[in-house]
Amino acid sequence: MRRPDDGDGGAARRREQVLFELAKRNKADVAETFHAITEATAVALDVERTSIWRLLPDGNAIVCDDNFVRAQGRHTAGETLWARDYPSYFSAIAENRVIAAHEARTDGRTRELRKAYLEVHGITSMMDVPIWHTGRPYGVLCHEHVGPTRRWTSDDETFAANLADLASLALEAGERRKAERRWDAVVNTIQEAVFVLDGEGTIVQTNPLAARMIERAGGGITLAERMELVEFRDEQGRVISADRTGGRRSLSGEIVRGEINHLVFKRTGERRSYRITSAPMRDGDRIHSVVVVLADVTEEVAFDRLKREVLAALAHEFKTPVAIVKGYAQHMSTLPDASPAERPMVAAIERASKRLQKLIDDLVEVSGISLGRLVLYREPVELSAMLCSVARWAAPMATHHRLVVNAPEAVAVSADRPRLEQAVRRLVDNAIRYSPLGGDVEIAVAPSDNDVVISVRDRGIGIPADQQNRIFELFFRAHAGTPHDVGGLGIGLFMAREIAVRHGGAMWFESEEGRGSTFYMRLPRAEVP
Amino acid sequence: MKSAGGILVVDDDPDLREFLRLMLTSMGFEVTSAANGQEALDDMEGHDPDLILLDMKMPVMNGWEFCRALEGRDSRPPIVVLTAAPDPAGRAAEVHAEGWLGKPFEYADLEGIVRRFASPAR
Repeated sequence: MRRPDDGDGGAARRREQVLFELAKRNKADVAETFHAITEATAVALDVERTSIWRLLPDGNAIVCDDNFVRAQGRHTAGETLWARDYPSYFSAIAENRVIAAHEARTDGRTRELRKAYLEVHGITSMMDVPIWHTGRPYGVLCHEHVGPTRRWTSDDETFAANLADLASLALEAGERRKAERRWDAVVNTIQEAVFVLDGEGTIVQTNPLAARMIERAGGGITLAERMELVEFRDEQGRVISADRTGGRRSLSGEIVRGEINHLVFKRTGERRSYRITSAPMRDGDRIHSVVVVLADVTEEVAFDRLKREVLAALAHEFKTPVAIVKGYAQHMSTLPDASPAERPMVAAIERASKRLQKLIDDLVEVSGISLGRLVLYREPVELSAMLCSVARWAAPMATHHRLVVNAPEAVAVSADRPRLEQAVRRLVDNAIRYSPLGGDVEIAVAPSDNDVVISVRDRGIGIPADQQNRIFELFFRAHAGTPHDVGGLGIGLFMAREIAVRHGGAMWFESEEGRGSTFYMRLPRAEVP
Repeated sequence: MKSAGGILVVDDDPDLREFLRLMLTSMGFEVTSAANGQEALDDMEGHDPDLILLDMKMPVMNGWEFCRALEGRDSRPPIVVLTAAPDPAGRAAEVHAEGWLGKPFEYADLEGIVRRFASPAR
């Protein structure tokens, strides 16, 4: 083996050169970089064996990531040294400082290794430098000299420490690459098309599903091309102009959450429905790009439409037979010549037909509103008058009740009048039906600066505590199968809350079993022009 | 000149026609009935009723076609649309009807709307 025979200056230059070469290489492949480091340090420091060891998280062992033996010119890995066998050596490692053992076989820190390790490999001098990773000790870069003992110089230590820093950088780069690969795997396998648009609305990045969509459209990288090849329609079927697409709106800072867009691919005439989500990506105040995610909901939209049509058709077909049954029953109950045995039968037919009618009304409503399809036609609505009208509507049903409307002043909201009235009717209808012994039903309106709260209070049977968290669920009926069961599909409160929420408001309640319930509906106040 | 009076019930459901005939007769009205728009037009050759109670969805000639057929006339009797549609008022507006009654209806509602347009014969 030839020792470098040129002066210190030449050796220093060569070491600088080695560092430079290692620093500029791509370090994302950790194993490859470790190989390069052990080979480089073996040559530059003229050492027979160089290795990188990883300290296990519990500190009980070090495992060899890479060991380069210069004479054989090959790399090995996997050897393990246990702390219980070499406690002094491990305490030295734990100090995270350079271990420069010139006389390794007698040095207090390394002499434990003599029999099992140093003599086996012919090692006389050792130098370990700590490798750090994300602020924690990762392990050591180890130099093992074979032959006459050797004094490690401070230049040797500095050079080794620099290489250990490069090892840290490799670990970080490897970590980053792993994270990127994980992320790529997610983006490439999800069932949504992901697009990244630049500040001009041009597509600059896609996942495979998004790329297939572009293929289906026949191109459309820039916004102008896209508008040429694809027609965008909103949930109600209105054409969306180039400046109102989800991506465009997000370029102006808006976050678009889950809106339904219908796309017509003009090249083939194919129509598909997507749920679109888009959000701006900012660099300080500046929006530099936008991420757009499209989920194909064509089947869901078609099924939803079919469901509504079936429900509506069913309800329609039920109405005429119910009209006949109900009409005759009502008529027969007024005839004076019915026998005492017939009267309760006729009364039962009449009650049954009323329940049927209620079911049909529920079906009609749920088919019209079902899941995301409620379109509001807003106008200024004066609430005091509306609540009085609801009370008049409810009066024939409230045989045992006193209906009280507490609306001290005229207060207006911007609302879809029939829908809002429908929601309040539902609350009042419930209040009456679930207070069979009567009592006050109080309908009140309480305006504040920004909101109006409508409340409907009864002194009825209340809602059992264990049912309260489900009360707004579609088709949930708290009193189903109890003596208080008054029929229905269980859609009233679902509908009422849905209507409140679509108006930008909310609905909640207070209830105590046996003492009654109060339902609240908060609505934003109409803006005065 | 045609003889005036009575209520013409136009509905394809024979049971509903019979029920309406019974109810309206008991209120004191003269009642004629037809199973579709064409039958109603034929019936009106003889005389114009005071009021037409008109179902919309019928075979042969539906309510929309029937109303269009009447549009050419100088005058026509008032029409009350009898419908199971979720928006009965909208249906009535579509054919410029004078009133509407949603199915299923209450006896009182039937009596109320009929008396707005016609008077009992006796």
